[in-house]
Amino acid sequence: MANRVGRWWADVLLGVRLTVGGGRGSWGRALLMAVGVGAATAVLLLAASVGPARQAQHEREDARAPVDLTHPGQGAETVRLWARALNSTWRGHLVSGVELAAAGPGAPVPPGIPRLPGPGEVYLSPALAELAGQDELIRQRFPERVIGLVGEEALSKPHELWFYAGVGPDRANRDSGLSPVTRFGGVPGAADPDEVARLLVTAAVAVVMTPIAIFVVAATRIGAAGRDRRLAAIRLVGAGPAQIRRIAAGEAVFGALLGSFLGAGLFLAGRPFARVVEVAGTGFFPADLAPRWPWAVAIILLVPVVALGSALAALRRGGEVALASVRRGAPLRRRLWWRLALAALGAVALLGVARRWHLFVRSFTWVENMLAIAVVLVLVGCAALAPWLVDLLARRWRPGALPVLLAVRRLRHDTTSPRILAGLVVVIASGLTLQVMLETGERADTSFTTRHADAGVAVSVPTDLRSGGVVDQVRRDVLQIPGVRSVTGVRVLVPVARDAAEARWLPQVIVLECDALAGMGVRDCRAGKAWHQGEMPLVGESVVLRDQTGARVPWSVPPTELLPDRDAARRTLPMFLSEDAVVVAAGANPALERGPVHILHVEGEAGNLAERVAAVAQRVDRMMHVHTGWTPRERRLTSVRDVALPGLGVVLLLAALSLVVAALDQVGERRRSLAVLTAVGVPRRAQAWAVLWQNAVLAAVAFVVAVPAGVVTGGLVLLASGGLAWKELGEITVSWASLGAAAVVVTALMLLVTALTLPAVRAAVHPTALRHE
Amino acid sequence: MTSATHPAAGTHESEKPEEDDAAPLLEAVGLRKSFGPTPALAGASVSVRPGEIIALMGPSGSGKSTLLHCLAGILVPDAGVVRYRGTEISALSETRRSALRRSEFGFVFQFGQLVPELSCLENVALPSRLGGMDRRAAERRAREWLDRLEVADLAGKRPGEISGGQGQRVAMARALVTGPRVVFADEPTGALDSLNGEHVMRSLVAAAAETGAAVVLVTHEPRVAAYSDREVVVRDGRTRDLSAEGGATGGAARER
Repeated sequence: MANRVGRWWADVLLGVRLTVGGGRGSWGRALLMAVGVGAATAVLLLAASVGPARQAQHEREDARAPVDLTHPGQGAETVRLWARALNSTWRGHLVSGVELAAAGPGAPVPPGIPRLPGPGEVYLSPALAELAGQDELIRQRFPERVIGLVGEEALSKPHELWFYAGVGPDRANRDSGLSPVTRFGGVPGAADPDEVARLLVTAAVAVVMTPIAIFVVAATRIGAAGRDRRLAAIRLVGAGPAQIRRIAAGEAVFGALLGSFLGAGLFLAGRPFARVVEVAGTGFFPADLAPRWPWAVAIILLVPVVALGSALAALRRGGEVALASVRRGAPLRRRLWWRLALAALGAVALLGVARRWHLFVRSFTWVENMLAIAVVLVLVGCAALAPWLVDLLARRWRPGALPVLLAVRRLRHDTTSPRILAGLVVVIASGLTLQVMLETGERADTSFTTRHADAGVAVSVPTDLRSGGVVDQVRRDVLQIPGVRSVTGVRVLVPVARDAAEARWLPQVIVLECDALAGMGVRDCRAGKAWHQGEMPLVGESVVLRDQTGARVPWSVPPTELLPDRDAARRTLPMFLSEDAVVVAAGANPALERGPVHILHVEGEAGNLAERVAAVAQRVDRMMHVHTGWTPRERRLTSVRDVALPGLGVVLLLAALSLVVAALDQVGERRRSLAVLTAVGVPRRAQAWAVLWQNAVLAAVAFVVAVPAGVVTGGLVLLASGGLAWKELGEITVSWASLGAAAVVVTALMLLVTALTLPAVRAAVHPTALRHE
Repeated sequence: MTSATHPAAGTHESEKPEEDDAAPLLEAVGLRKSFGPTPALAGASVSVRPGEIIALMGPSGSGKSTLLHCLAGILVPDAGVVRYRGTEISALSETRRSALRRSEFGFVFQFGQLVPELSCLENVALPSRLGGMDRRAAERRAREWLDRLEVADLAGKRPGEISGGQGQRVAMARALVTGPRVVFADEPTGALDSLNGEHVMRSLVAAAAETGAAVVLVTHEPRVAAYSDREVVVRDGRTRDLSAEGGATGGAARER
């Protein structure tokens, strides 16, 4: 037994010896593989860090959340502090904080600050303080004296816009919107994301991880032709198939382990930059980016194992037969059926999840796994389709121009490019999948963001303030803003249903002034006229409505017209406009207008209107919220962005790196044929063009396969995760900008790879190189 | 020269029983082999006696290399039988055929097929190490063979740093280091000039004679074939033994 282990070990060591002992060429190949595997390891470690990092964020967010007496489990403790949590936006960025008013000694102090701010005092996060120093409108929101910066232990990310503001004891009451607080942190269930968000994040992780796996596999093919020849030579002198596998494993494991450590080093070296990098609103403190150790160990060990497995699986017939017959090896014919089967299986699985076939399974984890596997299957199937297409193209295409002919023939015999191509397809398809997931999800959302809100915005009035004179003050102040044309009140009355069946069809009534309706495309407004924006209500039906004071208002549904600009209505009436809502012009029925105003609708000149209104409204009361569409649906998509966009960016870099590495490796492998071509008089310019053509064909095929694959996968994932209903399928959005961006990225990659490869090609075809070949 | 002076002679003598010179050491009968629709062998037969040097001659594409690969157990014929010392090697498993190649056969091909990442010494020691021999012992034996073939000074060099003729002699050392009974040489001088070719052939024939190994030589050069005891012509996948027909007299070059 010991003898056998010793011989196995000797074979593996021989493989390592072949890697490290072959001079610069061998080391070069090992390093190229290490770079590929290392980049993948670094990305995986980053991806594995996102979960713990978000957990750490949630914990800090939870720790600073004021817990009021209404939460379960709170006893009749002495109230020492009044507080309220606030959210608003500035140019689409969330500005959050807490207003605090001490009600006695020993009041709890939230994390991140040394003491409670007194009335007229405020602590700002470093990013908010910096912003307030630069932007007048944001500074107007914080007229208090800044007494310090909020520490990192209270911030969810380095660039978070967060504050703790002190308010006077006169506002330490429920009428001012504050609540009695016993402590900070420990709100049960505060950090639990919803199931749809979990499913979307799972899909996004699968989408990002698939290309990484493909690039690891591609990295193991670096120097493959030389390795096949080398192993065949060893086979010739009597190495058995098992020995060859051990030797090949020795070769692969060296580069893979080196890559694994390189990746860990890259991850550790790159971590401090997390403080300065924020992608699509997502940022982490360096200390947050710490994968759980079992995951870290698994990645550092698993990536080399995957690389090893891939290297062994890729042992062509060189590993199976001895040298003599390798030279007879024809390019393997690629089969179509299993590629289509993979993609189809994945699509069926996604449809299965979408159709809720899994309902008989109780485990949500099972559904998550199913979704991840399905996404991977679809993407891998599509990726595998690309090499088949290249193969088909190379067999059928008989180009006349020599550079194109050379390019096409090389693709036919190349074993590395198809793998890189597959990776490229997955990267582009993944990007488009995410684009569809994000964009269609946003479009299906009923909310809006400040970037949409240009000429009309809505200021929601907190329930506690609706009855006071605050609304009038805000209306007056906002009207003073240059460019604001009108500020009108919006009232909402809800139907009183006799039973559940009736509740389903009774309309909600929104009372608006004609100035506000003009912003929704209404040109023929008159008092009492009504519009619907979804289903047509039952005209003449008698309904009992209830206003905010609780008063009942009998109402008969008048004839309605379809609201002309429903998108504008959605922006203006974000949280009230349901499908069955009826919009009524004010001025005809005083009973409908007796209740308090819910929303102040502001019409004005486009350009920064939301920020200007927010600056004024929030000085009156920070609860005055200028709507930015920060809804649960968008929060889900934010989770997807958190995972996907940074990951995809790094994966794209990995794709570029892999392409360059593979291209350089190919030039090395083809030195002889390049030299021969030069010797027989093929101009060097034609050889350079051939390189460009080769990359161009790969890029074109990648694009042709990836675009439909990405769009379909994105739609299926949305369906499967519940992010999109079947009837909303027509709303799947593919933006030309995203397609254009994908085309630009692919073209840039192609040109970059060609440019980086050309010096090596030039060296190989230089007359002095011919002598050596 | 006696076998006692041969570096591997002790092993050869003690582990491998004496052969009956009259019985064929290696024999192929009615071999057929096709690559896709292209037939390479169409009923080829040949036999090799212990210590004999035979030349497989023929034009390019005639099937002579395929015949050699079938004889060596590299390829399995579609039909027909290859027997080595009475054992049908085409029926052996790949692992056992590998072991046979490692211990009983040696190979010298046109380009040497040395592993470029290993030094000449490591290349020569490779078959012994694959057979489980301790590194020092394997390298000691390899050095003896490099010395014997007058390329000891190349031990530390890699194949890329030496000339074609030197590479072929290193390949010969690698082929002979395990004391094989049969050396397969496929166009061993094909990539060499005539002077180097002569040198390599003399070394090969001398080393084979010294170890008692048979040599199966594939060549299309009469000058190289002249080193053989017997010439077999391969044409369109069929064989014709010229010496049996009294047409060719082998060994002319050796006698010069």
